Amino acid sequence: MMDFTPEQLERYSRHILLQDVGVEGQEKLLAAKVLIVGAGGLGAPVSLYLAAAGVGTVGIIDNDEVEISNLQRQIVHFTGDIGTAKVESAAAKMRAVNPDVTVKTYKKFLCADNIREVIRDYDFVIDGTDNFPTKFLVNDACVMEKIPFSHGGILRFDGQTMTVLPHNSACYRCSFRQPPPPDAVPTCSQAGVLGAIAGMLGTIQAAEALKFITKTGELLTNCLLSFDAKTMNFRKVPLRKQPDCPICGENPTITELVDMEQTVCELKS
Amino acid sequence: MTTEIDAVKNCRGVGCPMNLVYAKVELARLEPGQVLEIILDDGAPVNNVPKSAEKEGHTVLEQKKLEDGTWSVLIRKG
Repeated sequence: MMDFTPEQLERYSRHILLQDVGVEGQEKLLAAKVLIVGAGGLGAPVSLYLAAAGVGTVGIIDNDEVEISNLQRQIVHFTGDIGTAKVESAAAKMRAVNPDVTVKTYKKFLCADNIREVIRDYDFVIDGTDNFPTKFLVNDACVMEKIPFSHGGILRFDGQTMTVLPHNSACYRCSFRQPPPPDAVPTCSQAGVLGAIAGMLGTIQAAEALKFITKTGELLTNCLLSFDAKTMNFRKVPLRKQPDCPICGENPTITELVDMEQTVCELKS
Repeated sequence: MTTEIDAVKNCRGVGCPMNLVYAKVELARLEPGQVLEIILDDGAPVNNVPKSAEKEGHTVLEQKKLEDGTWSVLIRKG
């Protein structure tokens, strides 16, 4: 058993008191490594909660700088951060919340050439991206590297999330075979998004990561949880792992990663 | 008959819930069947910590009031 300092015992007391987490669970959290893909609406609450929880290593990858239009929902970034790299802005807040956490920043676009190398070092990945090609890239890379991850997406008043244990539960591609054609689905920057739903969905993803690390409860596997914040209806749609899935099926047809075309609207002009 | 005690934790002056946190840390260090003696303040601490320990599958063997008004509680790890 590791030696907690008196300060750490106080800091993590509300975890240690939980029967399902306890001293052992907190030790697992401090030893865990989680990668957050995207330092935006979803990555913001995820990064704060994972750091607060004492996840020992948190990686965060994003190539953007903070813009004023981000601040309505990306609560890890402050007005004074406009113009700075999102990963550095998020890292500063995580370190300020909890100096126990080692934060690794990657200021780059995740792409087919670098994703496997980056995710390989982590126990769990959070997909907080804002576009379909990257969501499929995260899914495929995590399946190939056998790294569990949480898928998440938000638009307007709606959110959806699922947790994937590669080769054990349905993956994103088992249900959604390929990205929708460009322009078929608008992005947040076109369609808008209610700020608080980023928190609603991101905190679910953070809770899934903490549950996975501490082996607590039942994960959101083999189902898609979706909600509509206008009515506050939540529903779980059961999903099944598909034997003919092109990435995690019996005879996968996707054997290497390629970058798919990015939709026009999320490329900043 | 005296019970063999494997660890002692003094939680005099330690309120709830940190006394339970310390109890859980000490119990985590022990093997199942080993016994922790924890000294708890009168009132809420001695009313709460033994109950919580039992809820988590440990056994409270004895609660004894000491001369200074605190309590010695023996907990066998479950």
